[in-house]
Amino acid sequence: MSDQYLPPAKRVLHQRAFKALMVTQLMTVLAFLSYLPQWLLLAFCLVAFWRWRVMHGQFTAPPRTLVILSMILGIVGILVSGFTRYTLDAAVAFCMLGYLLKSLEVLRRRDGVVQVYLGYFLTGVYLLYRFDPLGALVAIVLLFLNTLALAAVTSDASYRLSYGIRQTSLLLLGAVPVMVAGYLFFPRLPPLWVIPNDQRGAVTGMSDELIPGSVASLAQSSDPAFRVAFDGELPPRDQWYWRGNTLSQFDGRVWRASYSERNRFSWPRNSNLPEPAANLYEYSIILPKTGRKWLYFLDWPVSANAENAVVLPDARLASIANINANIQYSAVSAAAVQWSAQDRFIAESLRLPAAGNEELRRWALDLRASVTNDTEYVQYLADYIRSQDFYYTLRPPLYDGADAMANFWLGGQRGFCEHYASAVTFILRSAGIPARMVGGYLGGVYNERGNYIQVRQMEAHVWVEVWLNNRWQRFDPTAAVAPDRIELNLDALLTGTSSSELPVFSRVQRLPLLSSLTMYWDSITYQWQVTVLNYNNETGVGWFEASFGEFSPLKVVLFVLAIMSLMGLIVGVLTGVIVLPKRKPEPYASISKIEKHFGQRLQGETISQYFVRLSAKNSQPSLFTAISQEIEKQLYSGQDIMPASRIRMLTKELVKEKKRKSTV
Amino acid sequence: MAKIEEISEQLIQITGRVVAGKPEQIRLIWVALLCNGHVLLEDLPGVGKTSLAHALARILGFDYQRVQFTADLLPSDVIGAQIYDREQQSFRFHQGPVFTQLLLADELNRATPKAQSALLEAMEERQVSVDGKSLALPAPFFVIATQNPQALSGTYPLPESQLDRFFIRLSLGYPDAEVEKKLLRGEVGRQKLTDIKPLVDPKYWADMQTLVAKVQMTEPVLDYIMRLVQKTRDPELCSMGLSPRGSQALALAAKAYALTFGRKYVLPDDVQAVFSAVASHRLKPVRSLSVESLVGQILETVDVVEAV
Amino acid sequence: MFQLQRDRLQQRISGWLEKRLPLQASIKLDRNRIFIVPTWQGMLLLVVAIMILLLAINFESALNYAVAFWLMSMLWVAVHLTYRNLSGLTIAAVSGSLVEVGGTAEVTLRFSSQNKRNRGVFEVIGKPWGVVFVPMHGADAVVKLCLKASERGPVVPARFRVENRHPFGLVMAWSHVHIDVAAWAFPEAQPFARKAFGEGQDLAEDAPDDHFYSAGSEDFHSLRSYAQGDAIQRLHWPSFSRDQLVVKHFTDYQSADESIQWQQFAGLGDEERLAAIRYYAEAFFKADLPYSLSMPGVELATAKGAEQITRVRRALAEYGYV
Repeated sequence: MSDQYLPPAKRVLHQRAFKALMVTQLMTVLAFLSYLPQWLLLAFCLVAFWRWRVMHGQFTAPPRTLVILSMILGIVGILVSGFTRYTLDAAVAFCMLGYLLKSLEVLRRRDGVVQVYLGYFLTGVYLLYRFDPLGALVAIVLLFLNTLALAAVTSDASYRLSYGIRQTSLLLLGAVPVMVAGYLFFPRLPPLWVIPNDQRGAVTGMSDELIPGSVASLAQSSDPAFRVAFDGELPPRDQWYWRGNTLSQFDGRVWRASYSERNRFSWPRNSNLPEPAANLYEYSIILPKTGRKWLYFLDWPVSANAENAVVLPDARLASIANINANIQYSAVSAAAVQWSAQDRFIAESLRLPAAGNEELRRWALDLRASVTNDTEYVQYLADYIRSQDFYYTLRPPLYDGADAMANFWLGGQRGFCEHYASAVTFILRSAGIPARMVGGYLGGVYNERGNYIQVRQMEAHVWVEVWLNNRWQRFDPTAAVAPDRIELNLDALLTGTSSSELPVFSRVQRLPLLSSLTMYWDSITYQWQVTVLNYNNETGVGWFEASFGEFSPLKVVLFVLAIMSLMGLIVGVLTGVIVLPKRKPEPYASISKIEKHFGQRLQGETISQYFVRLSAKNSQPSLFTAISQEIEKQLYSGQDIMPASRIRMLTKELVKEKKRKSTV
Repeated sequence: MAKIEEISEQLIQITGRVVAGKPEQIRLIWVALLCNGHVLLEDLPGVGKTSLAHALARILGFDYQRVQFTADLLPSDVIGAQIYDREQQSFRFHQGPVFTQLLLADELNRATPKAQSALLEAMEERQVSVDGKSLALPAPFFVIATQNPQALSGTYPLPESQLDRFFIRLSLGYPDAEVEKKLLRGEVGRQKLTDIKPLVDPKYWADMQTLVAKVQMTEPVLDYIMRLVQKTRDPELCSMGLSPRGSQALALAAKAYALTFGRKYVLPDDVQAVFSAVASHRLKPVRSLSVESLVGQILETVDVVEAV
Repeated sequence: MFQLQRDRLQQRISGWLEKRLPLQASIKLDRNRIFIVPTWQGMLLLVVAIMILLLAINFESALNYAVAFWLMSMLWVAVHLTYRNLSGLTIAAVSGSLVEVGGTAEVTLRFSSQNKRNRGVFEVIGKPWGVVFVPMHGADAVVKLCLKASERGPVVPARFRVENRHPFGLVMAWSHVHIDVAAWAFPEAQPFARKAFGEGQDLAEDAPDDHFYSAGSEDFHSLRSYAQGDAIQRLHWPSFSRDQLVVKHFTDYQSADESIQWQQFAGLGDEERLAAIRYYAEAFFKADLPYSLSMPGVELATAKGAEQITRVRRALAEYGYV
């Protein structure tokens, strides 16, 4: 029975532990599979095969050559799969490879523990990719499995799965209170160091440059762009223009943003938002990480409250740093505004390259001659688009080269928002009317359950702003093609076009049940976003100050200690370390109370004998008889006619009587 | 049918006129009868056992027989025998005194084990076997047996296993001085037997027994009984504890006892009241103890109300 | 210098332990007697949690805050879970074996508790036996510890360690207990001359055995003439037919008794005497002869067989100690 002492870390794992480790590993790999090269499954198969050998008696470490070979193959594989740059994806891919190949060597408890801990870490990494409720659920499953594997790894061969599951649940559930406390009270620190090239997934949203075709690719994605929750009234649907950046620099081929995202030091300082001239809309926007700096607003913002953001003169704010996490900001917009100090930008909005699209310039100047003022000119353009054979399509023919816009406007007449907007801007500038393009989103889906508007990437849009009557006015030439475009979202608009162009999601959404389900799910993720992900210290501090007065470190420490000890108490009771004294049920409680005041009942004494004895010694025999009868009925009659409160009352009376007697 | 508590009171009162000063013992015997059980009286001669049995038989309207057990008593003297009938030219079964409703078996321990066991078998089976034929005894059938504890020479004390067949064992003891004076004055006594009229119609007998079964016994009382029973099985006190049959009898007796007061539920007081009568002859204390002190000790040390 | 300080520290610790966990036949572990620290594995979990916290901070990943704190508080819950494995555990001495010097003695302990919780596997760690694994899934478990019996007398386990890491190995709860239990080692046999002693110094071999004779009932011993009061059943009927009144006499069979006595080994030291006694006792045991033993403090009546030799061995082992 006795053995040489072997530290637990060096003890050999048992079969069930191997199985648990393998299942956990498989689940981890599966969770990551969509972000990483699929062939990592092959590495898992190799590991599984080796495990199988180990479990069937071939209890040896794999040969060095096999480990090194698979390592080299893996690294080459990752490089070949396109993870050549030092990005998070590449780091995770390498981490995963290490996680898989390390487990080739797992024979002893220490190795198993290390594997489980790597699994914990990978769960954390997984949450960098996913932060929706489903992702959180997957992470919880991974945590559970890893902990289950830990229970298996650290026990001996008598381990039973059901017992392990019970223990694991106990551990995880017991840890929840402290976890919540930590989540609530730990300060949200700024990043400690710069993470190289932190670009997880694609950069989304409007870009600085408008190259033909780029908006079309956005339009096919049903990913959410941002969500807007209004305080109070919603603006009318046809005004759901979500302003991103303005593009006013044109070099003949590419439209560029007025202010480059890359160089924020070139941004003008001390700019102001326009003054409101119509009714106001208050709202807050939750913007998921975009990897860009632009913030979005309803046309036109008049005041905004966003952290680390500066006002740009084209009626918007931009973040100083790239938006790499979900952020929330609030703003107020007006349907009409008063602009100030726009001279510089008006001049900028008239500039055109010296050459290119000559035909279109001529067309614009010809038109200039036939109308009296700028307003009419714009009106004419709208009429022209409506009356001529212009089509809206996401698959336009290729308009390339120096005369691309002329080819579109005068030739093909097929295109989408970008084509229309750029051509119209060009025409207006040629005619000497200041105009610029605005990139952003149009429309969105109103979610009644969550009372917010969800704007998706497919709703990306480009329109034109024209300087008319001392104001920048919105002119959406695309609306002239298909007026429905403004009333409905892209799904509805594109119903007529061939469905192969559309993402599955938008096709699915046309079914009413599914549509309401997806709306429901979206409102859940919205709530998740608002309450869980966007939780920050101000929320916590606000709540804290509201309940406990001014914030001070001592108070916080006391509060955290209080919570910890409370949770400790709860966990202690749950795990059975602390046993709470049980309150005696009636009539036992009353009996012991009477015993305390009138002397102990003898062991062999029945209730009636006891009370007869007491009543002989004390006055008020009737009260004793009454209690005695009540207690007997309660205990022995088997009927619950008498509420226990009567016994309690009688007992109180008796004790009071006794006290009165003793004081007299 | 009158209420059972009234019947009980009257029974005790009327019987008390014959055997004065022993209401508790009479109640216990009445309890035994309600439970369909037999009674063993351990007493000196002349304390009124016979009168008691006779009085009970009259009150309940039972047939009554008395057998004086002696050393030369044969089983057939109790049960009966095949007798050759000259006129009929055949054997005819002559019923013994056992064919009655209430049998007083006087000084049972004087008879030989053979005769004793004939009676005990009849008590247990409520039928007798004669020449391979079973003959049912009348229902109800009760035995009140008496034993003289003092007379040890020339007696055959009942073995423990046979004692178990008696539902209760008790002794009447001497009457109080006051009562004995009354007896001497002739205010009570045997001569009053003739005044007694039956109280209950025997046809209600079965109903009364179902009433006993219906008495409520709650968990705390059951627990108390179990604690008592466990205590009797403590090897430091008893060399032979209460058998499951004994604990069953205890519970049943407590129910009947409660019923004699018209209560529909059992109190621990009821259990305590019947405990000595039901348990004392089924226990065998360790050498240093007498049965009486054992029973007393058990009742004193077992907690009646155990808080949950 | 360092050695000296370390010794002093050691002394302090053991003094402190002695006060908290004195030598007892049975000990119930409670808050004052249980020590608990995270294992390296628990510390590593903390490191992992901190790494995930860094992940949360640097990538502004809100959910990773939750994961990090979850892992940290798991460690904290594990403290509770492991603590309750030891809490309320009673370690009691049961018995010790009887072995020859140089053999392996065994002491038996009982681990018991009020409730039948699964307490995982205890590791009972001590130098002489290494480690003994005690799985305790019910209300009690029996533990046997092996000790080297190097000297005659009691073989006692030194203060030993009872350790538990169940269920996740994140924390280790332990106690150093000192249980009053002893196995006994009896001396090795050594042939020393055994000198008869007594009144005449000559226990003449040819003397009749009659002084061993005592009346009994098993074996026929002799006939003798009838005396008044003899039972009729014992009459020797064949002689009766010859008109002789003779009764049979019975005896319990008994050979010449051997008696091993302390004084028979004059001139020897105590240990040698004990070894010598052992030698003769074993010899009689092998020959299946009855013998008695007389030594200071011990008087064993004449008997034979395994029980007698066990009695003798125990007496030899306990000599001078009990």
